[in-house]
Amino acid sequence: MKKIIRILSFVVLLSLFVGIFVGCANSKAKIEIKVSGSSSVTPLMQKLAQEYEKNNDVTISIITHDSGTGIKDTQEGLNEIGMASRSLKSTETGLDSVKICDDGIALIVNKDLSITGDSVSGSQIYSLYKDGIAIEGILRGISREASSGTRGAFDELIKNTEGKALKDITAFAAVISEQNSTGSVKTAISTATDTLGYISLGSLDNTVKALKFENVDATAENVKNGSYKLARPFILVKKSDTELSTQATAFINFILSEAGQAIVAQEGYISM
Amino acid sequence: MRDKIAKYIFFSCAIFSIFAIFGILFYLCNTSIPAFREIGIFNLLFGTVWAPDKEFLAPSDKFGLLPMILSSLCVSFGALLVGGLGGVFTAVFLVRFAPKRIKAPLTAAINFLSGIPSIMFGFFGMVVVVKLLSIISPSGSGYGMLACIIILSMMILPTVTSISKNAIEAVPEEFYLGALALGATKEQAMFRVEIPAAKSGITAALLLGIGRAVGETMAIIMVAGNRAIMPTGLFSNIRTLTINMVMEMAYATDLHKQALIATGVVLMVFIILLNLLVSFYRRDRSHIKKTLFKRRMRSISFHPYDIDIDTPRRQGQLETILKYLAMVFCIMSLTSLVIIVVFIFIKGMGHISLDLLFGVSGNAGMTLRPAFISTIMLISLALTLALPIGIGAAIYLVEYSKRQNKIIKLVRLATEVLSGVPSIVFGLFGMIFFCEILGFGYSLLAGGLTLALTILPTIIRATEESLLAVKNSLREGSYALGARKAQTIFKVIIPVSIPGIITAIILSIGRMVGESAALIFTSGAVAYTPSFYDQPGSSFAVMMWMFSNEGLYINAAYATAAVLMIIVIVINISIAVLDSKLKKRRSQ
Repeated sequence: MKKIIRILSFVVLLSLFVGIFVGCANSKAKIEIKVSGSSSVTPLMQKLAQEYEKNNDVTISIITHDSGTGIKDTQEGLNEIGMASRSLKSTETGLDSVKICDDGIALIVNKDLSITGDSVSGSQIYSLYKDGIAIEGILRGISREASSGTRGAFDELIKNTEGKALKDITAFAAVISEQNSTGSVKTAISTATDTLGYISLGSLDNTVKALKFENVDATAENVKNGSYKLARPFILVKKSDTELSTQATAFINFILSEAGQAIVAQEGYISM
Repeated sequence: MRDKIAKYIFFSCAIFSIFAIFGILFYLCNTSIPAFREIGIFNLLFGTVWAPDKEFLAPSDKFGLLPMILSSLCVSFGALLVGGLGGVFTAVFLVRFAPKRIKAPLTAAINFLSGIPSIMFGFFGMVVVVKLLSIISPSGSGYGMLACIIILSMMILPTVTSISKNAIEAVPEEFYLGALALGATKEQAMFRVEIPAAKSGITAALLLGIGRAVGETMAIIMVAGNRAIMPTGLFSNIRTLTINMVMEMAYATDLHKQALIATGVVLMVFIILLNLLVSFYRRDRSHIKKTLFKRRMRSISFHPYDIDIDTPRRQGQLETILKYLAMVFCIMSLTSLVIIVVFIFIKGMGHISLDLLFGVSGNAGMTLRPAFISTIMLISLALTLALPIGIGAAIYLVEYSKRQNKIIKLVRLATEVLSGVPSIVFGLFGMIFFCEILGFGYSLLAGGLTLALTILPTIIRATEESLLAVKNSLREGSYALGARKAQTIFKVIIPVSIPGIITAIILSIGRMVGESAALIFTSGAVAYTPSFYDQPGSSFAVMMWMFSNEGLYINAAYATAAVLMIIVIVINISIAVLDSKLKKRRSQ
């Protein structure tokens, strides 16, 4: 019995120290850049970071939340660079921002759902979200959580015929539900055949179908030439009163360089 | 001298635990005061509009928690009706009606159900339950209250089952035998005598079930629909208190943040009230005395003169029906377990590859390597901190303090309450205190510290139990041989109670492996392999959350779920093995 006890306590002690050793053995003392924020910007950021890491000895760790979180994290010093999929609000102070590209907002539905012309208008969406008025087979809609940059832009851009925007209404209709990431909107849409949702144009893939907005296709070209109206910028933010590390500055410069912008365009976003 | 040092060490462990426990409660209450003051208690608790992003609304109009409070209440009571009742009936079936041979495996299976991480239930709910419900839903959407109730029922059922099983088993055997001797059928003896006698224990089980349902987060955020509106029906979108915190905690500032902390405080008040009730009912159990027995015997509707020799047991048809109901519930809970496990394995096994398990993870693609390393790092940090303190505190409580001491009672109550506090509340505390105030940022350090707080009560309670189980004769024998108190503790008591302590460790490892809500906001959700504690890192459950949230990696999510399931199975088997060993030793 005593033997068993000794072995057991040994195992326990061992496990306590394993973690620390695992950690140390794994460390390569690389320089790390902490980036956090918008789940719309994340896929693009991952591609950019992947390219940048190939030629530079840094680790870029990207934490996915949403635009509001990215901005708040930057203000509180929890990251070096914050990502947001909308412009800064007047209330968000103490920050410097740089625009890295534009992105459209794709209106998505299930692949099995089709409506006349596969196109919707701003006022139709406005009535769906405000009063729950169906657009043919579209009976319900999905919104993002309040701090989503995509939602912020969507609520600002979707207007009724009198020019009132969604952001000025107090509450959505009962048929609107909320999902808290680009991915969960897509998953929800791919399982429901009567629901409209919206995601970043760059995150669009063949699991869902994009509708036209006011008869214009949701493509990067149409966003660039201004005919597709649902668009917003992707920005990176940093604290005004602290200097970025040289590595972080170099990374941002890479994104803004020709090579970086080529990746932006290749991934389906609108380069500058 | 050495004795004194030991005593002071144990004492300081106990004091530290008290500080940690009350510190969290006090800190959260204190930070939420501005919200209550600025918004107004009435507006906050009974306002029906929650719209923090609407700048044109006054603070008193846009922070109303009533929809969340009602949603939480509705789903918990729904889950209580289905899962709670189901749990009690399953317990009844296990205790009296299950064939002896399948009793032990059945119990183990139900316990296993309680070990499945909540993120897995949520995932299962999203891809299976919601889809099925959308077929019968009048509005065509499966998201909402009913989906939450189904998922929560599955989650609270094992908790309710195991506690009510203990309560029914604690009823003296004479109750049952006596009833049989008076001519009652097996079913009558169970439902008319044993259950009423175990009433307070069963009530405690149901209350704890509600507690678990109220505090559940990650499982229902995936199926609730999440709109902050008043619940109107079974398919109405709901947002519970916990969901409200997860959805908005990360980005909230100023008054909005305080309002969210206030949400946490409301949640905690719920849990504390429930736990106070539980401890009240638990204490009540000692009152099962002979008077009750006599009363119960008299109440059986048994008439000796009606005996018909040919059909001697015609009485008690209702009870027989109840028995079959118990069987049905037991089969249902077992089926739900099998469905989840089989579903996850079928969907996930095919996608497990060496590359997914151990490949380099980074911005190019996520693998599970960081999950292995982060999980081990988190668990070892949390255990290194919580284990000595928890065990020390438990030793002080059991070996040094006088049993009837008021402070001890308070500590016990506090650990009991704290073990019921939802992990999301710990996450909130960890995020504000460790990440922001102490400036650790999103890091494994902050995550590990938060986890240490989460498991501290579990460790204290489990260790206490195993210390209490040590027979007094061992202590006395040790003293008689001239050993001092510290010697007795280290050389006699601790070695004897080691299996219990190890069970506590494995239990808390199980809890940590499945934890996601508290970690997303403290250790962050990243694809990179952490190299040290100052870096963010995601554990298995968090990784699974990331995979399912990104939408692109749904197969990887299934695979992660399968790996996680294997870990959970291993943990559960080791608990079962240790438990049976422990029981054997006690009976010796």
